[in-house]
Amino acid sequence: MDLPPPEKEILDNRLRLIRAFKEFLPESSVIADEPRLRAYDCDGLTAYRQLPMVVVLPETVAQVSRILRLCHEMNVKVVPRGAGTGLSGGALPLPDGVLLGMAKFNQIVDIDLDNRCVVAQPGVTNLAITEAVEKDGFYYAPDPSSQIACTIGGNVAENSGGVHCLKYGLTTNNILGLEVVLMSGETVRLGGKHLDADGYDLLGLMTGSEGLLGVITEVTVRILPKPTLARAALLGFPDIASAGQCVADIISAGIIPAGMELMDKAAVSATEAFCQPGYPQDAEAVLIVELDGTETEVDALIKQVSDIARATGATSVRTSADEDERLLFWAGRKNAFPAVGRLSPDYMCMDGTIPRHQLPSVLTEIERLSQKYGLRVVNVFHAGDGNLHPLILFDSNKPDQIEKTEAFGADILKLCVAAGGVLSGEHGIGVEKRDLMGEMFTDIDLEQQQRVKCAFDPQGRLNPGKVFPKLHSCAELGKMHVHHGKMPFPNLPRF
Amino acid sequence: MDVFKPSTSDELHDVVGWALAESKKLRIQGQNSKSGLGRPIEADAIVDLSGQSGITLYEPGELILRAKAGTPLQEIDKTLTDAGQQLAFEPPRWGALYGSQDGGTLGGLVATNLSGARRVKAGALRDHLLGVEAVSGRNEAFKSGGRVMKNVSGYDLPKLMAGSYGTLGILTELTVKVMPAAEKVRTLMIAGASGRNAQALMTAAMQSPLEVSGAAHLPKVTVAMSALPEISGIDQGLTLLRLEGYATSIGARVKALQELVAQHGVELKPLSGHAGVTVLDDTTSLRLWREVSDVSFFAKSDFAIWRVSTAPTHLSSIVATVGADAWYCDWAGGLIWLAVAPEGAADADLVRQAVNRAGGHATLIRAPEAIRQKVSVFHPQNAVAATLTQNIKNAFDPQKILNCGRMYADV
Ligand SMILES: Cc1cc2nc3c(=O)[nH]c(=O)nc-3n(C[C@H](O)[C@H](O)[C@H](O)COP(=O)(O)OP(=O)(O)OC[C@H]3O[C@@H](n4cnc5c(N)ncnc54)[C@H](O)[C@@H]3O)c2cc1C
Repeated sequence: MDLPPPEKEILDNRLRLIRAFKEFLPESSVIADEPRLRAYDCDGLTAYRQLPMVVVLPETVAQVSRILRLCHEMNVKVVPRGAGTGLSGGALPLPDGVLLGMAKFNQIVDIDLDNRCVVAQPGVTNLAITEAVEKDGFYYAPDPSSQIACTIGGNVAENSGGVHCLKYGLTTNNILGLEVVLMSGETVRLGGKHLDADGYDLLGLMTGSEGLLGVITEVTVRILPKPTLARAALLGFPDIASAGQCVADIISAGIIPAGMELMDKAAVSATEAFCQPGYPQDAEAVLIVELDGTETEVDALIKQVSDIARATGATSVRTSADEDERLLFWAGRKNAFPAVGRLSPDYMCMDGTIPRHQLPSVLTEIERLSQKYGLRVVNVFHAGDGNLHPLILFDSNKPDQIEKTEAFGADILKLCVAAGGVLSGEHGIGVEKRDLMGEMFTDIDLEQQQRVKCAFDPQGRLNPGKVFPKLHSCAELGKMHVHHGKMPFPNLPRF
Repeated sequence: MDVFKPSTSDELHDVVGWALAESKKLRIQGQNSKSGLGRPIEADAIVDLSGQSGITLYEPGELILRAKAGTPLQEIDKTLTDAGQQLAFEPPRWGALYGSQDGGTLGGLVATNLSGARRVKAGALRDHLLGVEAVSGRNEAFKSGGRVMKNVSGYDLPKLMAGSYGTLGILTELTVKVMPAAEKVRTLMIAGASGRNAQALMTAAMQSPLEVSGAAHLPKVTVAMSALPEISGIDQGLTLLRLEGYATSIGARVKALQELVAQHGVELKPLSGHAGVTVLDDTTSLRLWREVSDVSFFAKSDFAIWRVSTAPTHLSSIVATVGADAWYCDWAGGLIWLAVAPEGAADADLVRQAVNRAGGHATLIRAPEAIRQKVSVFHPQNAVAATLTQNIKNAFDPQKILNCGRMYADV
């Protein structure tokens, strides 16, 4: 994985830039010494590290705007960062780039229960939004496992999901408005407290754009009333295929559960060792199905789901009797990553999505690859929406292991694409999957996407080197060859 | 004017290539069911996509359907209904508003990003659009998105294409998320709650955990415009709250919602034969909510029609400021339909000022061409947003050959 080569002119201007920042930013908002820069040298994809040229931590939108305008004028690269929990290296610094940390934007601006929304600064954590409205019976639906740490701005940039996506959608389906500062320093508001865009859906476009189009300085999210009751079924299966069949049969019965999560045997034993959620240890696959709604409804559905599970061969069926038990069922799944972290010095979390029915064959192939590379793999799966998280275990201190892990990961993602899926379900492309984009897209597809980038950032200064495998200048991308003088096409049906 | 009806992608490329080479402007259409929607444009030729039709993939178990852009919605509806599924965003059929019998095509629906009453619960069309294939104004076929629900692989261009009114690309094939259809539908029809009371009721319903899938209010004038005799005869404003779901639990949810309405202490004026709260069955519910989504109440009149999207609590102030001849709201007050005289500027200044104060946007959905010539049909943009819009147009259609001007002048 290569980052764009550092530009000498930028590096030469480093001190001038820092001085300029200090003119309008408080002392504590500019970090330029190596020990403190270290804290920012990677995001959640810790295999890749790079010291930024300088870190700025603005406190106001006006400061963000000035920082960007200055960088725009001095032709300096900027990498936005939230909490740095991203798993694809989207917030990986550039050696000749300013790292723009949004951590100080940590206030909730407005809670509007009548319009069922919350306005938050981008550095507010995902969980803090729910916490702010919980006492009034509301919550913010997307719930990434990193929700205590990750920021809502980062969630928008990555279009983050969680375990409740099938029923409640991803970030993109749950936000109403954004305030964005463009690379030029100009500010634009997209959406608001109302539904749906006027004009092009720039709100939708910004979501999942991985910090390449603009810096998010405010987010308006939709909040939902908390369901009266949620219950979970914990189902053990003798093999992955029958668990997969159970998921398919639940959906075919017209049921859209709030969550459906599948873990393989390795994940089950890792989580058991970590936090004792009481998962059936004899099962090859454990499925958690959560139903929420009114009491009558949930009770009826959980029974129906249990029946379907038995019919598809479940060897153990437990349903949560109370809230404590439901949370216990989830404790294992929610702690799957740290639990796996205990098994091995390092792990790399993959994030492909596949059409659900492909699960058994994809997992079989992953197992084969695991043997080929000699690296263990643990699988957790958002079964409802086909989002697969194979965790590859490795030891970065051993020679070749990083390279092997990368190659193994790439093979998994190619496999997902070949199965009709995509490279990333919720973690984004970042630098991690950047060079695989060609597996999914043609050059024309990618150039069209880069033209969209040009519409926002014609000099390509915002988070370059991420998402796109090849960097083209906007002038190059804008060229078009038109063959004049060709006659109208004789074969075309006209009326 | 030439009408091209390409039936293969090669033919489509030929048309776009011709337009580029000869500097011709194209108007893109499916069944032309929404011809009066948007700014009037001048084109040199029409590209009729109704020849590119057919469902190419339907996997009910995976909750996805893929179809060519020219596929009639009717065909998609039928296929889904037969399998007990639906498009959850409740696609409205606005053909009747523009005097068309046709139900429109999938491509036309996507290009306008139209969603019906269930939008408050299930999301908009754009939330259900998983993948697009299109031909840009550069005459390049491109795709974005995919066939899976979760996807952060490159920019979400399906979102950008939804609601772009054919100004960025000619949609050729679309993949949408489908959902199980509800077994049962019930509507609580509350008569006599007017103004703020209706607003408060809808808010309370949406704040409840009962999963209300539609919340609308029709004032007396609009009730009288319903085509359903059992509705139009009620001489009262009506507030409608919809529940959809499983047969086993709908009864309990209806009861809970009735209790909530009662607790709310809204002063209701019971009518003979229409006690304050009536529960409508499946059949009446389906027909009435179709009218709400399709704006059927105003279809036969010649009113100019505004569609306002705003935060629900601004409902009464906007309605009061505009003083329309007739109006109603959907989306719990967040979607306001205003019917005004089709004269002058159709009260554009009044509507836009009220909406600008509240936040949101107003679109002139229907008006005689002369009015749409002089009034901004879509909400005017500020300078930064307008520049971004221009830049994006330029990224897809630099020579401005595709539906140019349908949304904004020169876009
Ligand atoms: C243990 C663990 C579990 C996780 N579980 C999940 C999960 O279940 N689901 C899921 O979807 N993800 C998960 N993640 C991934 C990660 O938490 C999400 O991607 C999250 O949204 C990143 O937020 P952040 O604030 O940490 O952003 P960062 O990592 O700081 O940044 C992520 C990207 O967003 C950009 N960015 C950040 N803030 C802004 C801004 N204000 N304006 C513009 N661009 C910005 C950055 O440039 C970068 O490209 C997990 C991560 C970990 C470590």
